Amino acid sequence: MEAAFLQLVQQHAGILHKVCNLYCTHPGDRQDLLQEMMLQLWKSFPAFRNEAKLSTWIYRVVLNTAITAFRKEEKRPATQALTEETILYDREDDASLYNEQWKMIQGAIGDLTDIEKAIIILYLENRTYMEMEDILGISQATLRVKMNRIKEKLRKKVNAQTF
Amino acid sequence: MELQELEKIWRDPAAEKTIQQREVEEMLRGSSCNHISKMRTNLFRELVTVIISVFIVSVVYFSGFGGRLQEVSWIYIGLAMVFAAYYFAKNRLLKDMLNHTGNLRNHLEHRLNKLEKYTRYYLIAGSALVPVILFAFYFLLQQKTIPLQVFGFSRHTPGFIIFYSLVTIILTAALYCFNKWNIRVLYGKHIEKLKRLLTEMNDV
Repeated sequence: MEAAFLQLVQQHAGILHKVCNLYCTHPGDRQDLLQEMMLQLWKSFPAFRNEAKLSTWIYRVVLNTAITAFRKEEKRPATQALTEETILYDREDDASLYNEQWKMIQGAIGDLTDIEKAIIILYLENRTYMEMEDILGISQATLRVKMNRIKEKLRKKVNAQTF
Repeated sequence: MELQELEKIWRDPAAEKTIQQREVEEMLRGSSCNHISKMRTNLFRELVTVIISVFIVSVVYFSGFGGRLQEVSWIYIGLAMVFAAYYFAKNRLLKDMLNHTGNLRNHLEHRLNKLEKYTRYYLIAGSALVPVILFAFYFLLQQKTIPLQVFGFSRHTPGFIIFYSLVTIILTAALYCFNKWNIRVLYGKHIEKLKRLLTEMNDV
């Protein structure tokens, strides 16, 4: 089971990191959240019986953990400035390109609500509305309305930055 | 930033981070940092504290006072057994809250429901503690031939019963208010957050 779990986690490492980056701005909180996701995946892995798609199961566990985890970050100001310290990884192997890209993504998505972040993550991960409904429990019609609202928010943000 | 640009960056292979086997193993060796796990640890500590305290009190009352107050020990043992049942009920609720495999809406509803139930247990059990203990001691006082006078009331007079009942009511009300305030401080923010998330999910 360990080998299968390791393979699964390595295959989906990208999404785990991306979700941590979007839900936490502080490096310590990101690491805590990553560990929490890993533990939750590990605990629920034996119960996974292919009733749902593997990717659906992973997104569910990862997003449920990110949204309901009682993070230390809640004690910090909600609109914490995105400083170099909070954005950059403290690991030596982090490419600056990676950090630059994340700065841009966080700048755009960082202000969305937790639910909106979950929706945009699944959208960016190329999930269909049917899968999104399965993962989030929000009807496809509502998801479409919310997605339009998110697009509008992003557009307004771009305009605000331009002028 | 337009959405297309965001999609391009998101799907860029350079934005993909890997994770090493060593890192996974280290993380799995660590303990969970979520609040539910902390609540379970605290609950277990409470149980251990109650068991140790009751053991000490029971030994004192069983062996001391010439064995004339053994009933006090039985009262405490009874309370410890009730607390053990309370511990298992609360622990089961907390364990239920740790299931993360359902869809987000079900997960939030489930967690909110369990957390509200948990706080109800806390409030009821915490507030019932004073009247249960005081009534138990009242009946004990009536059985024993202990010369007792409180504010000039002898223990068999109606004045004593009224005074004792008043004290019980005041202490119960005070404990109820304290527990309510404590629950709001400890869990209020999280309950509000869960409600807010569910409202947002239902909002069109």
